[in-house]
This record gives sequence, C-alpha cells and structure tokens, in this order.
Amino acid sequence: MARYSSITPEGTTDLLFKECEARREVESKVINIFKGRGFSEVVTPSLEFYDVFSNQYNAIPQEMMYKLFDNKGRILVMRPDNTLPIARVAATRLKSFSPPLRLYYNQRIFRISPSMTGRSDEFAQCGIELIGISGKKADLEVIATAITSLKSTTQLDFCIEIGHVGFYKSIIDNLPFETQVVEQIRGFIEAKNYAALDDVLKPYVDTNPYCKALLALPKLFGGNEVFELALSIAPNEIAISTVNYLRDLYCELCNMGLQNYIMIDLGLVNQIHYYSGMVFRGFIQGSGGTVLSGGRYDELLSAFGADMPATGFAMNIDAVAKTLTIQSKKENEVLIYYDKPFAKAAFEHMETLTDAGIICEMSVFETLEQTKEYASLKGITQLDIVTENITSISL
Amino acid sequence: MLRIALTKGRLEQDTVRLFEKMHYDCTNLHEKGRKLILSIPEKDIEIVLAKAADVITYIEHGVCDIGVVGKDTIMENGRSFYEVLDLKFGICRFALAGKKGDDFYSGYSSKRIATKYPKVARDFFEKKGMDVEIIKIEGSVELAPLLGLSDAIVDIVETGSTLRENGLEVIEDICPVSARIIINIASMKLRKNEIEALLGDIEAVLN
Repeated sequence: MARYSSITPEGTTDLLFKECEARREVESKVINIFKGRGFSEVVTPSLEFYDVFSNQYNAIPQEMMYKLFDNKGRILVMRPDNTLPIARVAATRLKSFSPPLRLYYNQRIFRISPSMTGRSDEFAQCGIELIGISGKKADLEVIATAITSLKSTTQLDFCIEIGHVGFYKSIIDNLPFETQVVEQIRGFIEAKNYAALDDVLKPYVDTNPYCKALLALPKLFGGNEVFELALSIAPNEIAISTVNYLRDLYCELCNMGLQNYIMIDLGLVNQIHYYSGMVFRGFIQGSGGTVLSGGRYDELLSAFGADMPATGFAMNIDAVAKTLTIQSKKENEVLIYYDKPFAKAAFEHMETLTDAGIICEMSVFETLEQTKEYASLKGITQLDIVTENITSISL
Repeated sequence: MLRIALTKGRLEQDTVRLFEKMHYDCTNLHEKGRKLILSIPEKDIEIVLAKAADVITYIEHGVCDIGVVGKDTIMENGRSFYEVLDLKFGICRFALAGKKGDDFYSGYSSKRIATKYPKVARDFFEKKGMDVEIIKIEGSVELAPLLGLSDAIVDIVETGSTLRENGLEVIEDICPVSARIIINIASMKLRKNEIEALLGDIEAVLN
C-alpha cells in the first residue's frame, strides 16, 4: 500500500453523518436568510490566478496560499478568500449592473495553517457582499444580517464586536513614524499589548494628542460608554465623525433590540489594508476564536479596475456547526423487506413513504432473519414486510 | 468559571506568590501532587499547569481563558491572542552571544547561529538585513560555538554567568523578556467583566 493512501492531508478531514448534517443545517439556515433578503448566489472557481490575491489590499500572506501551475506555467492558487473573487466578478462581469449588487456565496476556502496547531486548512464559508453603495444603511443591513445569521444557527451566547478602522487611521496617518514602527504599533493595538504600546509611545504622550489617543485605543472596547471616552480623546474631525458614525450604527442596532449581541471595540485594527470603514467579527461562547467577520472595503474593487464601495461578511460554517447538537433521527426510519417476486410493490411502498417525508431503507438481505439483525444493529424500530400485502412490525 | 493556564516551574511559583498577595487560597496549588488541574476555593477559578508553549496553544484554542507565559515563548510561538499585562517577574533578556574576543560581524562568509528559538533568531537577523543559517539546538546552546558548530548563539540570558563560565560573551542584546498575561480573544469579549475584574486585582498588587 502506498504510504499516504489511507490518511488525509494535515488540516483536512472527512466529515461523516452528523457532522455533515450540522454543516448543512447551518448552511441552509444562513442561505435562507440571505435569499430572503434579496441576495443572489455567485459561485466562483476553486482555482484562481495568484494575481487575484496579490494586490495591495490583500491581507493573506503568500505562504498561506496553496499554489499550483497551469499548463502555461502561470501560478494558480486554491481560493484562499471569497471576497476577492467576488470583487473580481463584480468589477468585471457585473460592472454595468446598477447598484446595489446583493451577492452571496457558499463555498470553501483553503489556507495553509501552521503545522500541528489543530487548525484547519479548509473552511466552509457562507457570506454576503453588498456592493456599490456606501453609507450607513448598507453597513447596518450587513451587521443586522450577521446577527440574525448567528441567532438562527446557535443556541449559545454570542457577541458581535464592531469597530471602525477610520478612527485608528485618522490618528496614525498624522504621526511621523516609519512604516515598520507603524506596523509594530498596529500589532500592539491588535494584541491589546498595553505595556509594549506604552513603551513605544511614552516619550510623546504629554506633547502629542495623537499619541495619547493611540495609547488609549486598545482600552476602547465595551458598550455605549466607549463613545464618550473615544470622543474625549479624538484628536481631529475625522476621528470624531468616525465615532459618531459608529455611535449611530450602534444606536440603530439597539433600537432593533440587538443591544445584547453587540459591543464596540475601536482597537479592532486587523487586516487594515483590506477594510476601509466599519469592521466587525463574531464570537460564540466556547468557540475560542472568530466565527464570523466582515466590514466595509471601499478601496478593494479598485484593484480590479472598478471604483465601487462595498461591505459584507463571511461566516465560518464549521465553527458554528460545532456548537450544534444534532438529534438522531433514526426513530422515524423504516426498513423495508420484500420477498423476491414483490420488488415492484416494495419500491412503490418505499416511494409512498418517502413522499410523506419518512426515511426508508430497503433491506438488501436475502432473509428476514438477517434483516431484523441489521435493524437492531442500526437502531431502526419499524420493519415493513412486503409480500401480497404489507405488514408493519415494531422492533 | 475562568480557567487560567500557568507555565510550570518558576513562573508558576511567581504567579502563586502573586495570587497569595491577592488573598487567594492557594493551598491546592502548594499541595498539588501530580494533579494538573487545580481549583482555587471560593473563587470561580481553575488553574491548569502546562509547558510554556502549550499555554499559548490552550489560550489560542480557547480551552483556557487566561495564561501566564514568558515573552520568550510568545515571541517564538505567538499568534493571535491578547497580551494585556507585563507581570514584571521572570525577567531576563534575549541576546546574541559568541566566543569572547571574536568579532562576529567581521568577514563576508554567512554566519551560522545555534538557538533554541529559531523564530526569534530569524526575526532578529531579518531586521538587520542579514542572511544567516539557523541551527535548532534543544539544550545547552552554549556548546555549539565552543564545539565549532556555530559562529554565535541566540539565547535567553539572565545574569550571564553561564556564558562567562564557558568563555562566551554577549555580542548584542536583542530584547528584554518577562512574564505576561495573555487572554483568549473570544473570552476577553464574552467575559469582559470577570476578566477585567481579575486584571484589576492583579494590577493593584503589582503596583
């Protein structure tokens, strides 16, 4: 036997039975929400040119992409992200459509995760992109849809944290730090590393209001109280208008009765080149990591030659599915046994039952004895025997 | 309940002393035997004892909420979590060291570096724009330059006495290291109040 013939590559796995059911249940619930809100499905290829993902806005490092070559020697990748291909489609084939474009997708992405860390390399994602419209109404719709999606798929506590990269950008753009230092500072804010941030900024804090604001940034998370604090340190007009924008969004969501699901984090500064406005991500109690993330990316489509604002989010289906407990449905299942001459009648009986929504298995055994044995093994409780007539037995 | 992962050994002892200053009942932690999960009576807290790199893994996956781990381990293994507090104990530093009297930066041949921390070493030389060959060594890295395997080492230095006794010296300090509190990203958001209260208590006794 070949050495690797009986295992799957690291980061991938076979999903069986209930695991599939859980994934499909989450998928179908979420897709129904998307469809119900007027979003149309887009399917893009699993293989794309590397160039699609190598523009300046992309946040995926090249060592995280699975690469291969086409027959002309050009570099291809296994799709590492859904938004970029959708942006490509929107900026090319859908360019002439009048906005808004409401698109959704249900397809997998592939990323090379660090070895032996228990992370997947293959993720099932469902998400929406609302393209061609800037402004609050679109952002509000996307966040509200994300909350509904989580609400309808998990019974556990969850929370969506909302930030806005504009606040951070309005501050950092006014500081004369070099690119390397800026990236360092951004990393410290993302990691809420107060101590390290303090070390870098301390020499300037007393004299520079921008540094003072940066230093406070990682602590600006929580509920409504965050806005007052943020306004008190906002060093310029852009920062102030960003906070006000976020506060309006927050208030609207509260008006919709969603205050228990949302919180604010102005220190949410990851993927800063990709996103241009509000950003958000979702957590489920016990999931450990992000189950959903999204935001506004008004510059991204320009990388594909179309200047269109856009906003959207993606949900990690398996992370949500793991929080579900799928009930076994075996008790409703029927096993049908027939004597050889009655195949036609047996299959007709099966179709009657399946049309009524009952799950049927045809016995493939030659004897009733074996059939019963099989039923007890599988925990099937009803056996229908088809001869001249149909006899039902409870097991 | 909050689950706190401690790095076994010295950081664990330092953290227990910290908890005692906070008037936590640490009897279970003193009489732990071979147990790996211990509770703190009257507090809704469970302590998990793990190796340094594993503390990071447990925090990242969210099976523990809070971790106490050295900055050295974070630099070598760190990915995504919040690093919120410098505990100011377990203090040492990363340094580049070589044989006493050798001029490390002289010559044009590419240098060979032995280390237990390949990522830290790679990052350090990348910043310098220097292309070096890195060899991973599991213990007593000081041996490598002495035996002629490498030109220098990147390692944790506390007092420098091991280096001195073996005829080595620090060429350059890389960065200071101390114990840090790290927090799972989801826990920080979903259990903000509990975690902030605990961090507040810790900060109060630290200062």
